[in-house]
Amino acid sequence: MLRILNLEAGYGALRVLKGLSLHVSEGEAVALIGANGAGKTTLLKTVAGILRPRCGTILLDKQPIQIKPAERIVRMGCALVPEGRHVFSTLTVRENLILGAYSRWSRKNRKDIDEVLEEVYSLFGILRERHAQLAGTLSGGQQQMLAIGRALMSRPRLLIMDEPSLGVAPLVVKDIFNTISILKNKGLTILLVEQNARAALAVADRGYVIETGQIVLEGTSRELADNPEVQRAYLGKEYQRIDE
Amino acid sequence: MDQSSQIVQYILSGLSNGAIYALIGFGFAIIYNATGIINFAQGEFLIVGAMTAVSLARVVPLPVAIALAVLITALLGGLVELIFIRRVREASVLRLIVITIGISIVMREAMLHIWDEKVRALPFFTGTDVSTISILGAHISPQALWVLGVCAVIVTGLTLFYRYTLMGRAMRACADDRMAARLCGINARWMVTLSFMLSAGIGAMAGCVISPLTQTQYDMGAPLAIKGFTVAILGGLGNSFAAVAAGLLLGLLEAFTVSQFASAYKEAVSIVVLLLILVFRPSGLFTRSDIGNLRAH
Repeated sequence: MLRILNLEAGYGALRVLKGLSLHVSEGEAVALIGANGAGKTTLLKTVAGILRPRCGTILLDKQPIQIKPAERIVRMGCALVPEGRHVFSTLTVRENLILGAYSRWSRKNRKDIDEVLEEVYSLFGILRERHAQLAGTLSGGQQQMLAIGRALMSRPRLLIMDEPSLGVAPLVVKDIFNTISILKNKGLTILLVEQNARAALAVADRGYVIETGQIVLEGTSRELADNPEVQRAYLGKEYQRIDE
Repeated sequence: MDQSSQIVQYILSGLSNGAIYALIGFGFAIIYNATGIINFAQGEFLIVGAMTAVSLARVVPLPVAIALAVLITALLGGLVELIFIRRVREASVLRLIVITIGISIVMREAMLHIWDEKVRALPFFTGTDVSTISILGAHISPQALWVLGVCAVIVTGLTLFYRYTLMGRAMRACADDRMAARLCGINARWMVTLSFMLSAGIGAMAGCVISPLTQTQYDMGAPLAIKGFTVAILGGLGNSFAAVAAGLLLGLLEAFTVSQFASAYKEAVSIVVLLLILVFRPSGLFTRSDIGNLRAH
């Protein structure tokens, strides 16, 4: 569904992505793990059309999208939940969700949009309860749920999530990962970027490890979780002592 | 005229002047919200609107002339954005503000060429320049009621637009978080163009409705813009509805100044208010700290 080939991108003189390639197949959940500054967010912003790549190809359903602006890419069925949530804090929860469906707003979709809204509300009950509240007054976890809900409102076929556990209370992190696996089981294709590699690999089918703008390792979640390098660098397991 | 009816008189004339300031301030707020820039050509939009209506009123009935003038000015506002604002690369807010000052000068000179220096005016919407309506012993021109009515209709209309329509919500979303708005599929650039159109259209309407009372001349935009700017700052930049309240307040302040001092001091009021606000309360009179905090994130 998504195929990225030799992607290079950056800010000004700074090269962040240096010829990165990966793919996500239909129905798959793929985790992208890597340290701070490895280029994860840059990659997602480039895919979503917020950043223009220097070169390389991004194919969504075999169509090149690297030259398309963000607002067109949403219409093609690829939604990004940005890092740091970015909810519209001065709008109500319900208004946030409704704007999530902006890209396919029309009279004939009216019923369908109400249905998705209902789905989102049943996925995140708290959003229904707080629908009239300003989004900025929600807690971090609730804002994260709202950001995910807003992205779902566009009925994406590919959902991209950037650090959904960032700045969220540990208990709520569990909820959010539960939701991600519910969405995956419903057949949604997911690309997930996480610092919390353990949780990400638990929900994903496959994973990539990104370091300084390149993919250095790829494999099934199992393989990655068992890989000693990954364990040391991202899963926080201790070095094995050499002298024993 | 006894004292109490005199006070009513001042209040009414203050409110009708204030309503115009409110509309100009509202125009500032719309563009500020969408782009973070102060559009110093806002005053010129008023004059373009009024002048266009004056010219059109010779060939078509007055309501049609005004409607067309509002439309034309709105299109002009959109065009200004497309040509001068959108194309600027690495646009810092300051650079854009300077550009709007340039636009205002160009528009003023263009109007001088098109409509020369003559003072013109639209006919009174109802009645003539001598007809008055008496309210609680005070006498005001029916046009002043038109001013208040138009202001009320525009403000209510826009409130409903921003709160209940998808387009209005999308504009608020863009002002709140541009990147997130784009990720929702909202074309943020067109929302900016739309803000300029809306702002110019409101300006044109304000220009038409005061034209019978104050007359219209090509260079009257700048002083009006200063009033509107004062009001926008007084209300707290970007807060459209506080701008309306601040507009009425400034109108009342001016009216009572005139009642106590020579009317020459009237113009000084807004400048003094502007300076005081900038020094003592730059975030505006009506800024709610909680909303302000939400915006900052």
